[in-house]
Amino acid sequence: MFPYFLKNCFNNYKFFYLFILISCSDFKEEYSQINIDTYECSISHQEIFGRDFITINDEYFDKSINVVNKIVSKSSKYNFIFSTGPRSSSGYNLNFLNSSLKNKNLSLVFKEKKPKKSTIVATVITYPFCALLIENIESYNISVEII
Amino acid sequence: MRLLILIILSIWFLSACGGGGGGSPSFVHDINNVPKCSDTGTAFQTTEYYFMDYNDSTDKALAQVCASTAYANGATGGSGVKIGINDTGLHLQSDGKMDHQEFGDVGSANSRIILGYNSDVVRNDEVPEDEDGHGSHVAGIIGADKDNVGMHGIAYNATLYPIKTLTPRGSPHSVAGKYTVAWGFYLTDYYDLDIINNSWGYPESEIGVTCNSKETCESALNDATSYSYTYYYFQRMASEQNAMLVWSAGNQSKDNPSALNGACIYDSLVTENCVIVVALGTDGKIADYSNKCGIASAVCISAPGSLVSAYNDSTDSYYELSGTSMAAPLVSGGLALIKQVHTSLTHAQVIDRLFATAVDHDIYSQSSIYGHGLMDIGAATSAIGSLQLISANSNNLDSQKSSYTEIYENSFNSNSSFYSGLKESLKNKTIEVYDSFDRANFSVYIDSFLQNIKITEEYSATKHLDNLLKIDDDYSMMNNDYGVLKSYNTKSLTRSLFETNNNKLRIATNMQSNLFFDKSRTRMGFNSPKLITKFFGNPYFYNDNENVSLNINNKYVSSNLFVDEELDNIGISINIQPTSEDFFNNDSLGNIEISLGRSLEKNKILNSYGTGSFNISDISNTKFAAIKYKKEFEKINVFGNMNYGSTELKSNSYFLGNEAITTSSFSLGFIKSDFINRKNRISILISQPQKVIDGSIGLRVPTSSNNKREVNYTTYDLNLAPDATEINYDLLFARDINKNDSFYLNYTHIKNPIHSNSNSSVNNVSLLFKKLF
Repeated sequence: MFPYFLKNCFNNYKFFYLFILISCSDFKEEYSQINIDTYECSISHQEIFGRDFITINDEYFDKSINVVNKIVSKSSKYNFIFSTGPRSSSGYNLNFLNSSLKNKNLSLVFKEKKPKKSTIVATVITYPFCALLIENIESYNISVEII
Repeated sequence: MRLLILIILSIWFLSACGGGGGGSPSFVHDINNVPKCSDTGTAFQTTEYYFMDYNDSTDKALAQVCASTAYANGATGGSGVKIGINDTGLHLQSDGKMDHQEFGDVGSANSRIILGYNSDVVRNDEVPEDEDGHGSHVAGIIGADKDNVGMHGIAYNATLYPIKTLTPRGSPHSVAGKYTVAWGFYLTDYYDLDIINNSWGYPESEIGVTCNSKETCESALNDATSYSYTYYYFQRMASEQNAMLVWSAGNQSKDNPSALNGACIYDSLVTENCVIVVALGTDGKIADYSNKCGIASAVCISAPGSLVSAYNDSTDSYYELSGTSMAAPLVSGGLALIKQVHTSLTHAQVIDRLFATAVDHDIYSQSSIYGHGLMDIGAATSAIGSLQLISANSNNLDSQKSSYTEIYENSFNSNSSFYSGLKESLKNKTIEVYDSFDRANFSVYIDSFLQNIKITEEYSATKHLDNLLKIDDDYSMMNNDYGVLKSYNTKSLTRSLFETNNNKLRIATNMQSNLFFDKSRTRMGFNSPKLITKFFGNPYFYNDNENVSLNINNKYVSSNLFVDEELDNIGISINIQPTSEDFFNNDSLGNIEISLGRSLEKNKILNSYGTGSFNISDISNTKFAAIKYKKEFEKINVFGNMNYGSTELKSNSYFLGNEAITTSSFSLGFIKSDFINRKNRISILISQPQKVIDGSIGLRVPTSSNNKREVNYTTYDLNLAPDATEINYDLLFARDINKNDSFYLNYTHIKNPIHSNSNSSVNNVSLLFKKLF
């Protein structure tokens, strides 16, 4: 009776067991963190380069970093700029949260702070951005996430 | 399926038929066409003017609102207008000194930047240092210096009051507000500001959605500012201080402006002084980020707001910003220009004028998007309707006692005796006139109303030839027991003379009845009215059309009466002829006539008259004396004529009473018969037409008005004496070729025509051959 019970159980839940077995196996991907300590976030009143990000390898980077360097306080050789694109007023802020590296895929996470609904803002188009210095930037495929 | 198709077709058909009654094609606007205003002030279109440009666009912000036309219309950058900038402050050094060339040296005597009590509301001091840049940029658009450096603001001479009410970005209070904006409004009252620019808003809010009444919008504003008295101050400023409020509409691409603008349509105390501004993109169409005018279209207007380049920071750099924040200061500056040019307008009227003159056709006809359309500050500073003069002594533009006449209905026709003197006295003097739209004031030169219709024709060759035409030759004559009536028939004027058989009474129409010089002139053979007046006439009994002249007893003592058809102008003289016993044959003394008389002219002075507000509303009184002399030698007839007069006027129009105006004229000459042979006659004549020797006239005209609609007058004391004396030199020659044929020559040299040494001398030669058939 018991063997029959086991057999039925196995037949009914064979895919579940298989999933458990596979999940518990030693199969895993290479996740790691890289240190990005040099960065600065601010707001530009001028469009820097459009939406998303630009790296030092891009054609228009020099022009963009010139705009950024007029705004940021630290004098660093940034090689990556991320901008949310235009925002409708002052009061928007962008912060760099963290990064994660999976194989050669570098994921950067930013947090955008919006003005509270019941506050007063200057009605000028702004461009929140962060400028980062990423070591060996040419080695990575970079993606960006805003939360 | 067939039924469905039928239904769809039916709906399409009904739709196609609908809306057919929309009006004539003239109301159809091309909503793809972006029209422009007329930017015509080329003298002001400098590199600096175009600096506030769009990055890669041919359109320029100032040109797009036709600011140069406004400058050409007399708007000198809004000087004297006080504009508050409720914003993040202005880039300053810690000691309050300006650190940018575009605003000169704050604190100096000529500075247009006013810092004072609580200018920095955020930090509660007098140095509103801009920690953001937004307020400085807005200030630059409004009023950066016009100094041939960089750019200049639209109202480059306005007085600016930076009031720091917004905290900078990046600080813990990056989205400022709190009670500071309330203080901003309070300071508007404190500093007695004319305009306050508000390039700030209330995110994610919308009139008609977030709030839809005065109460709910007030509540929304109070929530936003966390200050329960904010709205109180707002209302107080608008209703009591009467400042013009300019609001940016917001940048959330919504169909209606920000809820902060709600008071503009829901609060009657605010509405008439409120302007909401939406931003245009570089293509002239509504910017993709800009809120639209929506339900606030009645108080809404459009202005460039994208990539507007202006003042930056402590360096000499400039940068471009976009937003309704940039459109609003262009409108604030535009209002300053209107206010400066048209001081007679209330603030509500300044705004009405801004709206009324906006470009509102083609795409801008869509009021739910563009409100009144694209701001056209050139049109707003130009006349709307017709220009008019206010009636004399009207002290208020809106008073029922004030009446207006079209500008072309006003003139002053001066005779030549003081035309050039009057013109010189009026040089560069102005009078204020008003347009028919809202009585906006304009300044024009008074001498533009001054006319002398005779000037152009007086010295013409045609007129000169008339001297020789014997236009009175053809007359009909009637005799009866009492006397002789001669009727001279000319093309334009009937002249007649009745003379009693005993020469005791002469009655003339449109000619003089005094015959003192008749024999002289008939000897010469010229008797045109012009020459009679020039050499023999009484200049105070001018010989215009439709008058009657009466002479009683033409010997010893006689009297002349002159009156025009309307009985407005009456003159009388007593003539004494001490040597008239043997009137034409007294070889020893010659013949003398001394005349004393008086001329009373209604609505005239010295045969000069005004129309409209220049009408002379009383009677001028001229006392005159004349002496005439003639002596006839055997073949030479010598004569002279000298006249002096003193004229007084009591008037209550633009023209005022005056001290006595002294005038004089003279003529002197001779006629020689049998010159060389019996067939020839020659005459040389020198004459000075009537001229004012001394005297002035008062002219009291409106020259300014204020926004209480009060009219201020200036009284000019106008010297009527010309700076030169006109002298005529005439040479006349006549030759009788045979009984029926004659030849005439008249050469005239006129020095200082119209008693003005600025007029070139005139030389005319006329030849006439007369043949009788």
